[in-house]
Amino acid sequence: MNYSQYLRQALDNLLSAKLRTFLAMLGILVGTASVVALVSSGQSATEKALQQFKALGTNLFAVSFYQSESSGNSAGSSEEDKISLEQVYKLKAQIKGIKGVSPYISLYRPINFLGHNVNGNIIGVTETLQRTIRINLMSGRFISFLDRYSYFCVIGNKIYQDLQKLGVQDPIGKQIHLGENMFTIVGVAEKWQENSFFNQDVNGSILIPLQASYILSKNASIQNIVLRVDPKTDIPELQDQINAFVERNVPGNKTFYRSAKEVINTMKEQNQIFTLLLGFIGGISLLVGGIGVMNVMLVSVAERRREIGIRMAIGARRNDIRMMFLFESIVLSLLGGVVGVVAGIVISNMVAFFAGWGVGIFIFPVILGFFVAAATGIFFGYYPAYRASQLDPIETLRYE
Amino acid sequence: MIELKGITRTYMIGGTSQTILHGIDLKVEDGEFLGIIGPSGSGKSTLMNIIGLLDRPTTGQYFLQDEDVAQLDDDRRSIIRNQFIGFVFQMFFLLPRLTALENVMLPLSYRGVPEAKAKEMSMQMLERVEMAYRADHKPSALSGGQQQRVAIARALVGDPKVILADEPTGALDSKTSQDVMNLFMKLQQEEKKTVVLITHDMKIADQCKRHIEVQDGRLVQETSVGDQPNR
Repeated sequence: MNYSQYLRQALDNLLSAKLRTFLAMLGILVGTASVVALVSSGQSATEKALQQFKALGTNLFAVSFYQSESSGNSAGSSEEDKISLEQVYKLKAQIKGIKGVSPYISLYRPINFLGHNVNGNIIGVTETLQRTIRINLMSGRFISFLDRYSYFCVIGNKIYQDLQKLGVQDPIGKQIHLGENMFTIVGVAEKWQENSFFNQDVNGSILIPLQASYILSKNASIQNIVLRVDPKTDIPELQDQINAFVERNVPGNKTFYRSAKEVINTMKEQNQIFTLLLGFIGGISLLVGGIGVMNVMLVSVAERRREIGIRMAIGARRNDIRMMFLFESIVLSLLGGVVGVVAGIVISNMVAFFAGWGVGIFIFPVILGFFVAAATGIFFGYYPAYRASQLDPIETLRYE
Repeated sequence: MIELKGITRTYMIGGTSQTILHGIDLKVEDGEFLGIIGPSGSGKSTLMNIIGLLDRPTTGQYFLQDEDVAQLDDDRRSIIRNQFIGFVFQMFFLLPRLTALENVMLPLSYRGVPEAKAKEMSMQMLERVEMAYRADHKPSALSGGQQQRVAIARALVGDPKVILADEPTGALDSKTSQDVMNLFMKLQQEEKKTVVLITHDMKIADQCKRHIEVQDGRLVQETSVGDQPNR
């Protein structure tokens, strides 16, 4: 017999026991659907998580500075260990591959508006930050290169909402107390999307010119820089160059880096493990489905002993008998697999839809679904098929 | 030609061995119509299974067309069964899910005959046994005699040298039995087949040209046509 004959024979036999075929198929269907749905959902979640990095561009690179212990305690750090704005610009000029620098200073000062306390942080920034971490303005303007030591500030969206509650409709031009000093509001930011390269929350912050930070606090120093780098830059080499620069100019500092590439790779790795875990959980239900197939096939072999004997008597080889049953379990599993893959896609898209992830079909889980369904059919169908092929024709043909 | 030399068959049952056949010597010429009679438990079915290559003798030699086939492997024996031997069983043993035509086609499909050709050959064989008009019926829709005719067609469709019939009329009434026997004898003469027929019915056995009797695993009597068996 050839394979198309085995296939047709398998279909005939499966159709003759419809309910049993359907139930066995259902097990495979549920198993395949859960593998496909879980793995697809894992992939949608990954895509969603990576989306914000892709939106920001993968060319961001964050550097943080920490004063090492040898150069005195943090409260009274010496002036020569502080990185100045000039040094930041020098860094940009000296190292090829750095396209933009956005240093910033975080400050904590009481904020007061017309006698009301407002909760928030103060961040000293330069004009380049707006583009680098994408701060969109609702009204007014951003901190400018010309502001330097001026008492101008841009308020985050949450601060704006707090001011609204105090009855301020248009905060532009209003004055706000930051510590001892009065700052004039020149811009209002829209709601800002969090960004892991900038370790402050812009929404709850008041942004002032970087130089003005030094007026608010004697201890103010640049501790973070967001760099925009050429996408072709070799990150470890860049880190070495920055380390050398720091060693030469501000030796009392240690550096800590975060690059978009690294973060994305780490996230991808984590999500792979996560997806693998989900696939494994789905695999358990497929295992149960496979055991169902095996059970059904064993019952089928027992019921069809007579048929096996007749077929052997008229010339079926053991391999013909084995193939007959193996094809049945494979066809059963593949049918369950096809419907299961479709069901899995539908389920994962429903999950993605309600979770607000991107809706779509991933190729990998679909291929995986078919593959594991077929493998289940072969694996769990082989033993019953083997048992059938080893029956003794005399035993099976004995009159009962 | 079938030739058995010193065939024995011993089964192991629950740790004790039981010998069913004690040294059978038998020769069946091409085109012969041989009846094997004997009470149940005499070993005639075991003998039949050995001749039909469904069972292996414990000792002894079995020549089929001058080839010793006693200890061939399973696949080789399947092929010989498919090409040289046609079985007819007491309970017909048609596959219940297949139609009469599909049942007849089965030995050809295991031989690798293309489907269209197999269909044509099977249809011709159904005509020979006067069952063509029931080709599309399942066995459950056929009477016992009709089922046995289909089974005979299945046994003959592959043009085997030997037909082995195990109580082919055992499940049929006497009128139908005679019809089936007549069909057997007609085909045997037309096709020059060797037929070995097992029966316990002397009326059937008497229609064979020669019959032998098996008792307790031994051949006890050989009667040729024309002789009057002692009864």
